[in-house]
Amino acid sequence: MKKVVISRRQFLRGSGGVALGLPFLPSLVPGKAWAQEVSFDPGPRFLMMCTGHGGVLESSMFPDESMMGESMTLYPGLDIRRGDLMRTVNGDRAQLSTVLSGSADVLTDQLVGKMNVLWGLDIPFYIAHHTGGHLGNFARNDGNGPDGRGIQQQHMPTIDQLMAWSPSFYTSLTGVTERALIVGGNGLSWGYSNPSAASGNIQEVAALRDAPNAFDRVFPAGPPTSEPTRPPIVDRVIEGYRSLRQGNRRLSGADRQRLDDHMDRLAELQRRLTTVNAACGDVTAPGFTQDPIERTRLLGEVVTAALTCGATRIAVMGVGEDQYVPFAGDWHQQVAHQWQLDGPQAQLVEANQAVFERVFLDLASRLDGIEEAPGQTVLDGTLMAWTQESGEMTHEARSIPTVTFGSGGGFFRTGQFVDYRNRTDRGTRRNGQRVFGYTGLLYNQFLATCLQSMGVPQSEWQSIANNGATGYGVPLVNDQYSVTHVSGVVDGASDVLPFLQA
Amino acid sequence: MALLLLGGCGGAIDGNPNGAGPGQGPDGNDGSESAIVGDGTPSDRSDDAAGGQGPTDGSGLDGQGNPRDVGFICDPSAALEGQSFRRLTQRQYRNTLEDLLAQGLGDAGQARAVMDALQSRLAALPPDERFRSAEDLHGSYRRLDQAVGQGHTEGWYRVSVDAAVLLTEPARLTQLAGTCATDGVADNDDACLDAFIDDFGARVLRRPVDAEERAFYRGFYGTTVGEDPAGYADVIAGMLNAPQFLYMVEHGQDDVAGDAPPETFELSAFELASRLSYHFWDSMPDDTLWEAAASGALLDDAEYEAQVERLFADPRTRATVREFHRDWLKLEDLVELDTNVGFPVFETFAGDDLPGPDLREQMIDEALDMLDHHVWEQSSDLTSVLTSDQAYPRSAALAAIYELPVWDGAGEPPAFAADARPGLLSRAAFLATGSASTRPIMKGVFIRRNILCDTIPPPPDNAAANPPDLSEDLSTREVVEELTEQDGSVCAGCHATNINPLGFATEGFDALGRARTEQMLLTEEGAVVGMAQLDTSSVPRIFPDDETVSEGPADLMGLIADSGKAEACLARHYFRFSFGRFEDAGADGCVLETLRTAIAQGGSFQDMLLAVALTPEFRQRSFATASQEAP
Repeated sequence: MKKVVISRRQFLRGSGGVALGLPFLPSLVPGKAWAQEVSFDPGPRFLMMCTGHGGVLESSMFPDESMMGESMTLYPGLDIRRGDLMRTVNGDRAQLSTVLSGSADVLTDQLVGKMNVLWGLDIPFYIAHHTGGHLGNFARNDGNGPDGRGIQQQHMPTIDQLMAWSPSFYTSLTGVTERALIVGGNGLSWGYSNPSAASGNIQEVAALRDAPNAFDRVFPAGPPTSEPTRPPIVDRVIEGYRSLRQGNRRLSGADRQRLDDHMDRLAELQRRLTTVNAACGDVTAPGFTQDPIERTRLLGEVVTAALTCGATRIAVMGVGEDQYVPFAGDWHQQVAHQWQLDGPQAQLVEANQAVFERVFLDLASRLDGIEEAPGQTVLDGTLMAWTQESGEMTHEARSIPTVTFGSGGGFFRTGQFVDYRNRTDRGTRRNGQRVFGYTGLLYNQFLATCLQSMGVPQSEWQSIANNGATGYGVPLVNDQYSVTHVSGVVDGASDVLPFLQA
Repeated sequence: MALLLLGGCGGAIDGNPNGAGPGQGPDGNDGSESAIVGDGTPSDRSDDAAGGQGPTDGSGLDGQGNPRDVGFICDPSAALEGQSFRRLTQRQYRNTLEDLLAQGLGDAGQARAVMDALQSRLAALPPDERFRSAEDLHGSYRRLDQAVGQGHTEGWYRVSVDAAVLLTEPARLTQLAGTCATDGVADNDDACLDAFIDDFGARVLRRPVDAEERAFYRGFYGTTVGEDPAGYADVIAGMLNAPQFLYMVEHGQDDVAGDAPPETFELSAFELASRLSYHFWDSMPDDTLWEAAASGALLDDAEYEAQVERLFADPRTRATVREFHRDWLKLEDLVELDTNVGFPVFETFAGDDLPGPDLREQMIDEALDMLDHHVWEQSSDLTSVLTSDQAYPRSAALAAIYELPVWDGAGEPPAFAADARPGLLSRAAFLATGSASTRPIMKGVFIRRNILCDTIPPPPDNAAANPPDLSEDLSTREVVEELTEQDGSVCAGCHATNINPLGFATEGFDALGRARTEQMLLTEEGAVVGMAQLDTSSVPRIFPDDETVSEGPADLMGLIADSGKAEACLARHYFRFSFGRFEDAGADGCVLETLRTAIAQGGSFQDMLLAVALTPEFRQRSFATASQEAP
């Protein structure tokens, strides 16, 4: 693996590229940061941003189909397409679509060349509201319909947690203070209660809501600068648990699992207590704010800093799109679920455009402004992905908008607009007389692609309980979707998504 | 308009608890949990649909085909598997730490000072979430959140290290371990450390320390010769990370006699003391309870009952019960009421009662005060709570909404005119929506699920995909009927029969909880364009076969109170809170029936709250291992 050297000089050079007139990490970087050169093995990084609801019409969400210039027959009966993303510039604004737009100074040709926009990735059953689906725990849905309700007991770890505890992903934990930084909204990240042994219950990994807490987690105080006078006590604490676990007093199996789980957490604590991330330098904690937009911005700063200096290589952000437009009322009911009405649709477009520009694009731009090797930015070494809860119809996860930045360290071919939909009568999802639109490939395949791009092989996740034979996630395909699928859609779900691999 | 469709019920509410049970099955489809909105906190998607899953496993209820039989089946031989140590909730952890420090230092003021110094560490601990599961997708009791993640383990560790440093400052160490720890006399150092481990350690572990454990904790001190505050600090930190401190570790003692299921054991005296103190106080045993455990007297029935009575009468129990009420009624789901201030529609609607930032909490407090007053001052039964005319507004803003004087918190509370606003469910906390519109669907869903423990099937796919156009001259009820009760629609099956009627009964109160006789119709610009007539009559079908007409809230509350379903439902909820888990269909029928009968047969809330600790099951623990668990 290559060694990356970050220096103060390089950081400052990177900061010069940050747009929106914002200084780079204004609350985090002190004057003396990055004063020394340090080395670490970054490996590919993964940053997922998840937003609620969806509900944006495809005509506003996706670029114009005229960009599609190439097609191929993936399976008999399924022709897919791709094209190069091309921005249009009007004054100081640039856009790929109504939602995917921003300042022309930020959404540059260079950055567009590092994007992918994926059309036609479905959760192929009626999942309705969920938070777990973004990263692969489809069981964490709200049970709005019989499909979703039927799988609520079939929890699975999410891909961020698989990566976090995968020996293939973290081949070295040097400098890694937090395996996966989960911030913003809850319900997104799920893992084993005993993650290193991949055993126990699947439980939620709670998100850190505020930037100061996230900062403390990822930039712990670290060991004292002077030589410690006493040995750390964690080993001995673990011994107390082990003694109880292995003693002859009466325990249930669940008690023993509890003790195992706790010991596993203590072992990770021990690792964290002895981890030094010199690359992060003498960073300064951000302040606390109750303003949700400012809070998201500060969380983004912490994420950016942590990814940049290798304190973590995985971050998940939950972002509420409803905060980005002035609206007083019940966003969920009055806007998201009235998506087909003009007024609410305009608000959904406005909100999601704002999230794209002010959060997702901003993060990408920041990461692209930091050169960590000649000609290579942090963004280049990262896979950023933005997914929404639903497609254009809330409750319906057909064609979940999926937008990415970065090549994940060279894994992905970028600058593409890809259409996986089966644009035939057979590919049309119906419910009785109602027509919902074209189905495409499985979202499970996107998750499997993410895992493989991050170096986590199929052998590490294909046999996980509740996973299917292919792809990642409960392999439920309901009747309304299955009739739209040609042979190969399900069987090929463990393959890297077509057109994407460099 | 804040509405969404519900449907797919086909009229089949689970009125027969046998095999399905009130609220037994996964009951939420409303998405109220964990949606990503706003500041990242869960959104209220509660209107999405009311659906609950139908029968899952048999509820332990005795129905046998009679939909009006609300009892539970008691089978003492039914086995319970998969029980594990319960971890302390965050409330329990904080209470325990403070009580431990007060006991150890012999100075409550010093204990508080240490807790204050630990505040930032304590604040970083992961909060207990209202545990969401298939049984209660809205979120159940914080006590059910038993997850232990990295944040917990690390948070506890950091608290322990900081606490240990604070406790071993010279003056405090003398208070904690005696003068022998700081007197500079070498001869007494070993004995001093042993005595400290025995005394302080016993309270930390909540049982006496044996010789092996004494040696183990001496190991934290290390091999330092002489007095070493840092050594004491490591001993303290080690103890505060012990499984016996962070979890309620139980090993049991004797086999349970009779027809109890296998692998069920009576708790030891110290285990029982902890179970009692954490149940009632959310904290560790006090000296009196400790002595009863140490002497073994606690295992005597008469002494045990006396201790139960003593703990129950202690003011600390009230705080615990208040937390139960808060979670049971999902009061945290009440939205902030001032977010729409500044918008013309809301300003016109609210008029002189424009909410301030504290009104939400005042409404929540009023509901809790009402329950407190009924439970502790009046020793009421559930019917009284459901039908009382008394109100408890402590703020001028809430009193204005009620058009009543402010309650001073001590005297006789003011009262509404008879039957004008009967019972808990017509209080503002259950009516306010934060917008200008009432939410009859949500009100109906709440009552159906949380008060009656009925389940509602999920709505059909995309039930909300094509809402009809609405006009500006319909009342909220008319809009809801238009949306959800169209003849032949898939929605009508549930909404027309089982959801909407429960919510329509309180349409005589607006979205701030004010009484009204007609509904103001507003444009988006806040202009009043008319007044709509209100209709609070409905057929609420407390039981599926009950066609009794309700004319309004008084009738509805009476029907609920007379049904017996609310008592059975409350018993189920209090079980969850008490045992920190969802009920097992077979194994928990005896406890559930005990709780139900305690409050259903002329009993009071207090009778039920006490009854749980007097059940045999409260004093037992199953160690049966489920097949998939660790060997």
